[in-house]
Amino acid sequence: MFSKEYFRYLLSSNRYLLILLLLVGMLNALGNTIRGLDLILQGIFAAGCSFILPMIVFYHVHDKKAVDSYLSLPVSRKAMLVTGIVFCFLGVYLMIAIGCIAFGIKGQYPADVIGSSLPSPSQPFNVLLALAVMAPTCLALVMFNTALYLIGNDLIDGVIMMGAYTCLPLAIYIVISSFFYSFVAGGNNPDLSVIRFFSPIYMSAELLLMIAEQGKVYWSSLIGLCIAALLSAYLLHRSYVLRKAERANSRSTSFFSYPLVINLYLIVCVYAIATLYGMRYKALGEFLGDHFVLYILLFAAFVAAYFLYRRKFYFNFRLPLFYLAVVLVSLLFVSSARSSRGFGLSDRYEKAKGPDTVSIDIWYADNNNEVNDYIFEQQGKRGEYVGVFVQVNGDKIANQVSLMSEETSDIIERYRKKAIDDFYEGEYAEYEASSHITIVPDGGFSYSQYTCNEAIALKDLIALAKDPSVRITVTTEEGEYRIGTDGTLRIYHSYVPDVTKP
Amino acid sequence: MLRIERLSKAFRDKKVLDGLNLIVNEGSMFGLVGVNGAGKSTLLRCVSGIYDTDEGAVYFNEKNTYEDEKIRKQIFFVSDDPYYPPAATIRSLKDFYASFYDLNEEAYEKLLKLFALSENKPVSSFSKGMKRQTMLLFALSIRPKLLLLDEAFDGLDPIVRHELKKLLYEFIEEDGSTIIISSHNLKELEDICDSYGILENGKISSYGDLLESKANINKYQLAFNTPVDESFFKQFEILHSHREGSVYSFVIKGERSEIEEKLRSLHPLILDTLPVNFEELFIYEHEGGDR
Repeated sequence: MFSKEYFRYLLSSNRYLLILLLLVGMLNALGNTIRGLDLILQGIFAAGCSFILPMIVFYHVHDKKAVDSYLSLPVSRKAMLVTGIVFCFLGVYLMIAIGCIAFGIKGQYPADVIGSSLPSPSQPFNVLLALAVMAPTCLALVMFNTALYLIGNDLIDGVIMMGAYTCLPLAIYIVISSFFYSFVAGGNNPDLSVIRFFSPIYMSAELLLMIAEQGKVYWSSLIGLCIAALLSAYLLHRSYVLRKAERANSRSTSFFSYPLVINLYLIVCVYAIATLYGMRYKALGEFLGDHFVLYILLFAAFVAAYFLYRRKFYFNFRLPLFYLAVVLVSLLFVSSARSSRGFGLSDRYEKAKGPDTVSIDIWYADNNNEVNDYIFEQQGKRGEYVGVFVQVNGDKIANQVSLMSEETSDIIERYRKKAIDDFYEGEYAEYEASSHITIVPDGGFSYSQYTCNEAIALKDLIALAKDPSVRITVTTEEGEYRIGTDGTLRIYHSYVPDVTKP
Repeated sequence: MLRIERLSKAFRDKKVLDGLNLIVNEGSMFGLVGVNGAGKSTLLRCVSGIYDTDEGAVYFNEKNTYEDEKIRKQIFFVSDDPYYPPAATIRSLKDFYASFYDLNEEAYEKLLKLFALSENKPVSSFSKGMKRQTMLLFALSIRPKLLLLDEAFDGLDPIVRHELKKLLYEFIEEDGSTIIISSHNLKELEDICDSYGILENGKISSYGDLLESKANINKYQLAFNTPVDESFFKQFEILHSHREGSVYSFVIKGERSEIEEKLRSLHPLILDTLPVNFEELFIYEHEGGDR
């Protein structure tokens, strides 16, 4: 299962590369004056090594001539695979281990000796924990990246596959997020954290930072990486041990290579363009007029990708037909998404009620645009009521014990529905005279944010003020006021020493 | 002994080797010939364990060469276009091969001197012939039990070719190893091979002892003063025929004395029998195969 001869050969033939990696790692670890940054940079270097080392060690399967030399050696393919993986793992782990040890040593000194702390000072236990957890992490990363590299049949395709599948989870995340952002009023993103399980590099970074910052192991990521390693082991067996040597330098025809990768990224790009239509345009003609060149450029890139795939100019009528079909489907999809109010997803959230509490921030137009870090295009006259920020909290606000009244719930729901209508009618609210309603569910992980281009009417505000579960803050350039249940305004926080009632 | 059983290998839809059977005896120098694209290199890659077979198997000393990595220690394959890692020198290649094979230091030094190659210069700076010599240097220093040479004489000058032939003889004599050489240069093969095989349509169409085979195929030239019944010639295994007036020439496979006796019964004015060389043997066998 392991070939000492092959390992010795890998060590001697890559000795300069290993020395270079070691030097870079040590220079970064010792030269960095900011505690913790060396660990982060070391993590980035190690991630880079997990891509570069498999490219070097397993290059032979992608070269017609090299494959003759290597695969005729008296070493079993299984042993060559295991030895190659172990070699790459050691290179990557060495890099991260240097960072962990340097991080641990620096953590023993006061922050002002080393520099600012980023993240928090380490303890020997954290260093040992990092060293222990990073071992399976690096192994999983190396195995996964090697499996990606071996999908292709030559060096270029191998590198493309590594890049394509590494970026794919991010692309999928962006596509799903942009759908919710563009087509579902409230911009309510579902929990997309499951996508991280498709990205070993993201899980690795998460693990490293969690240990460095909090001394805790992110078990779900560690388990995710172990599953990725097992899956990669299976893929490596298929793509290396059972690999046909004649695949070297031939066209990549594996199911996971081309044209799948090209088509996936085409769909992502076409969808991204179509989103613009769904968001900003009411007429298709106007949209196509503005973005025709973009579609032409994308088609050129699509044909170029096929050229890369086939290593020769390839044009077939199926290509433009497929491209047109994808464009049409994407436009149809975004049109349907818009006309069906995000396929009905906008209405899936029930109105705020029950244990929720409400905090309402009211802004008055004034000359100071930077109050509370918000910058407004102020249109109203000085002292004029322009809009509100309403936050409905699933968690109770401190010192609030009352439940939201039915009347409060109805008022907020009325504005929320108005905000949904505005969203789908393309009536975008400006900050002046608008209501921004944020609904924070229990735990506060994701938000629903509705923007209604109409400020909550004063009579509604007065009604809301009577509800003890509602906390209304009025912000002016002089300070913040709270409206009490009796409708009177009281100073809450003053920006100027001498403040009077506005 | 090398034994190949029902070996089939296809690349996508093209079947290159199709149920090929072959036995090469120990201590033999076997010449593998075939037209371009016949599958000679594919066959050698299957034998050396680089290619897996679609059907059948290759056994060397009764061990499967693809599955048994230990037996591959006794096999060395020199491809027609060998791979040298970037910046490789003969010294670094020596380290590489010495890691996996029992490299004979004495043979290495002797051959290095004979080929007059620089140990520390990058192989990439060598000429085509020198690159080939480099690989032959390792092939003969490792002293495998089965040596596979693909287009062995390609790019070598006449002096080195001559030296190489001598070295291969010595190698077989001293170690009793088996050598399979594929080449288009049939003159060179004729000089050194004791047996041969012609690869055609994915199979070995003809194989055997080279001298015996050559003796069994002859060129007959006949001249007649009266017309002859041409159906008379149908009894022979004719590989090639040509007629110019009353002069006939045939390449016939079979026992020479028997054929001559039958031909004499036609009372030709002239009957000349000429031996064929390996190249003619290949051409006529190939034409015969096409028919």
